[in-house]
Amino acid sequence: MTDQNHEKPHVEDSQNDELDRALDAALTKYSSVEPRAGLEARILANLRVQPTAPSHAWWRLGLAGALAAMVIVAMAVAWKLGRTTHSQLASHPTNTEQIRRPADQPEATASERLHGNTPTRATHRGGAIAVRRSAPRARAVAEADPRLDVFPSPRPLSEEELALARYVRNFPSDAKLVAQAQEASEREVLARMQALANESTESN
Amino acid sequence: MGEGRQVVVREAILDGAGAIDRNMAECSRDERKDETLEQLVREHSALVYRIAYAVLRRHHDAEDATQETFVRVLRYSSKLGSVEDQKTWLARIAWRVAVDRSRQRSRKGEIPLQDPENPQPEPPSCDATADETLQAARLELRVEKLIAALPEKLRQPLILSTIEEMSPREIAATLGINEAAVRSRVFRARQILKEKLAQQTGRRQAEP
Repeated sequence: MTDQNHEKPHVEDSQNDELDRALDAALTKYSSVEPRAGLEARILANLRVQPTAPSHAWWRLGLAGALAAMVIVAMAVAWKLGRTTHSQLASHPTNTEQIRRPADQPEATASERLHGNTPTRATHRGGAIAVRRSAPRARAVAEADPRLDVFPSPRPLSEEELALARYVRNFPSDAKLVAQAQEASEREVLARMQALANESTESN
Repeated sequence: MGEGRQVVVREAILDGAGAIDRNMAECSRDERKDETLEQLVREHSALVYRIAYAVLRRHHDAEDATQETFVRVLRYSSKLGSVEDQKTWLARIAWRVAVDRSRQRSRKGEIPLQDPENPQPEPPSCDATADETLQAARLELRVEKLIAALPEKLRQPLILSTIEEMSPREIAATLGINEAAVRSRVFRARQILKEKLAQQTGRRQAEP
């Protein structure tokens, strides 16, 4: 009986040792593998075909992207600012625009009015009148002409002035004579006024 | 030739010489980097492969992971000079690559081409009989299954401890835990494996 009791732990120990050995053997074999022949050569060949320093390439790409984004944002901001200024200017109507003109008559620049050059007209389908702009740039400037902070503000020519200008262009010699006569009469009026003033001072 | 012109020419020559020096320094640095990398491949490719195989359990996957590990090393080759323990550094990269691939595989639900139920038989050694070889192969298979069933916390240090070249210190550095934790986890994992193996053996002996 006592022998059996003594033998039982001994058997358990031997079983345990056997299990340990078996487990050790199995675990040793678990990762004891050899790679296929030529692994090093394959790795080195693969590394040779890899692009060198790709991190720099990414850095450069990122920088280029950031720059492009900045340029786009700057352009957008500039465009928006430009639009705002334009709309602000448009909200201040120019004196040119204040002149009432017929609905079908296009607006003319000051120089066009002075020389009697009206824009060429062309009739389109449906009877609508379209204006071929002979000087679009000058016209755009005239349209966007803001109220300036200078005195006197530029004013368009009145009907009388326009008629006078037309007369001067058509009859320059007559106009010269008229101007000389006008000047002489003005000088005469001035001389008379001067004489009257002198007389009044002397009587006092 | 005027004095100003001479100065300009001298500066141009000095600039050119400086550029050549810089170029040569860069070339020699690149060469040194290549040499270091080649040395790493020659010394540690087998270790990297074993780490990958311990995790992935398939030869072609392990080879792919080894290639990827060295590609990553190439990508971070600028840091190579500042790495103190290159072996541990490499082991850590290999471990991460293998674990990532293993996770990807399980996410995709891939089934291994090589059936673990029927592993490729190893050539029998001269000393062992056919019966002994068969028994050893069965035991290996059972151990492999038991290891796969272990909790990750215990499995990771255990499978790294099966790699001959890895010391407990290196395993700890690879897993980012301390050495004592590695030892205790490996011990616990072994205990569990032994218990389960004993249970299975007892069941088998009782079955006939």
